[in-house]
Amino acid sequence: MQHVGDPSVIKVQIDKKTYTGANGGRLTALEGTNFNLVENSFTVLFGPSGCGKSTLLRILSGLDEDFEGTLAWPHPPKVGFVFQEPRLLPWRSVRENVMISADPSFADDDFNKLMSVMGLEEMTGLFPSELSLGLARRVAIARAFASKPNLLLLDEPFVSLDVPTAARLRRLIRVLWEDNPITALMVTHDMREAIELGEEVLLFSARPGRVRGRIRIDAADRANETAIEAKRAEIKAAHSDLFEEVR
Amino acid sequence: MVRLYPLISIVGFLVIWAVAAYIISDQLFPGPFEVVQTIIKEFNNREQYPLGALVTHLLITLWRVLASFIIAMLIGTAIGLLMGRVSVANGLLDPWLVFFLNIPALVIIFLCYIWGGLNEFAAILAVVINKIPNVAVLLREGARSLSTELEEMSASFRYSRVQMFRHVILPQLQPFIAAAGRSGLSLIWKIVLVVEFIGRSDGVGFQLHTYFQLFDVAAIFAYSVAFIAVMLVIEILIIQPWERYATRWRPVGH
Repeated sequence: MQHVGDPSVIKVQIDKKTYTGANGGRLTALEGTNFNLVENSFTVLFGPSGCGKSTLLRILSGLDEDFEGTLAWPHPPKVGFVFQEPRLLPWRSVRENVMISADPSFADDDFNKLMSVMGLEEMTGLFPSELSLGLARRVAIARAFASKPNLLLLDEPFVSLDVPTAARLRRLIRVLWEDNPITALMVTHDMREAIELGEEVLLFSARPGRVRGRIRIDAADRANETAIEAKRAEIKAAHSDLFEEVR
Repeated sequence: MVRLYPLISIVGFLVIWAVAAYIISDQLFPGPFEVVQTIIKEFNNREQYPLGALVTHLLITLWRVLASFIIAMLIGTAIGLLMGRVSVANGLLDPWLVFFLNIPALVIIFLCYIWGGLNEFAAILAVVINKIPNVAVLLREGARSLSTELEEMSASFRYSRVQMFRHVILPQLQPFIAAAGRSGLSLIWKIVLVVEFIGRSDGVGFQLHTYFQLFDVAAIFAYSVAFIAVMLVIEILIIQPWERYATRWRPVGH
């Protein structure tokens, strides 16, 4: 509770979030889900499927206001959301997709720079149907950064990508984020992703989703493959029940 | 070769028509040459009309078609969107939609003329009332098929209402608007002709009325063919290019 009153912290306190299940009964997605997001830090929420991760992101983004609890923001919320699917506007070019969602202060120069960092400079005139899934995801990530959010939400942005493409995308996010640190929260059920990107990993239990533990990740932990694997094995040994083997 | 089939079909039809007209040889069954002659004659007929009878009546009908088309599309789209998005509105308006979809066009035309007088306003109103339900039904389907994923995306990025409508909603409605527009234009011009036939003293429908009383089949053909040609030009010069532009983002083969 050392962060109470801290102006540089988003304080998340979800007492209860229920929804109606397929059979009509009430199901509890989240209960007693409390944690803080420190400004300009990269937090990863790790947990098995069904732990309410996506529900939590929807609440944080303001898409879902039907819950018991409070969100305390140090500033007016401005969310950049990278969904599981790219969710680009199919009838707008790459450039338009980014610029429509961009912050008003995001100028043409910023756009060109962002596209070159993302390796998209040749594709700004293309429509989403002309892009591979990996490229479309990159555009979705560029769009979120261009909106200059004070909270970046990433909902399993690497699912159904092949291993090298996913690794490349993680490096891109890391580069973008180190270049311009913003408060970020990514959900995943892949501990490798969590270690590669996060500074802090929140371990979530399933049904209802609750914070079971938090783990600091240092630069040394993601220095190379061996370090990442060692950290992963260490966390898995302590919390094997939260792991679903994904690879 | 396949590209020539439409041309072969049209030329073949004209030949059969010409031969049949030659064999029958009756004033009530004119051949294609007589129809073309009548078109030229009406085009050059400047007795009452400085622009020529054909052009004048075509333009008057075209203005009625476009005016009622635009009004019906705007109101029909608004009603359709409301019904597709708000279930209360759908519940309240649905019986009336069914009612107006099934009420005969003639009845609406008669009532508009009787209550509104034989004037331009009543004429256009009658056409608009006839067309609105079709547009509303199609656009309701469009509104129901809007993507919630994109709606959430635009909500999370805090799109303004204008941005949401222009970049998210309108492009999704485009195929439905195009379908309503297509069927609308052809339906509307047929209704406009009836409206002119019954209660106007100009326009293609009025001319058809006149020549019907004279049993002048060549002139009836002349005006019909001329107006179909105008609609074809609109289709080729406006509707098709717009559709190509609006669907340019679609992957090839869809």
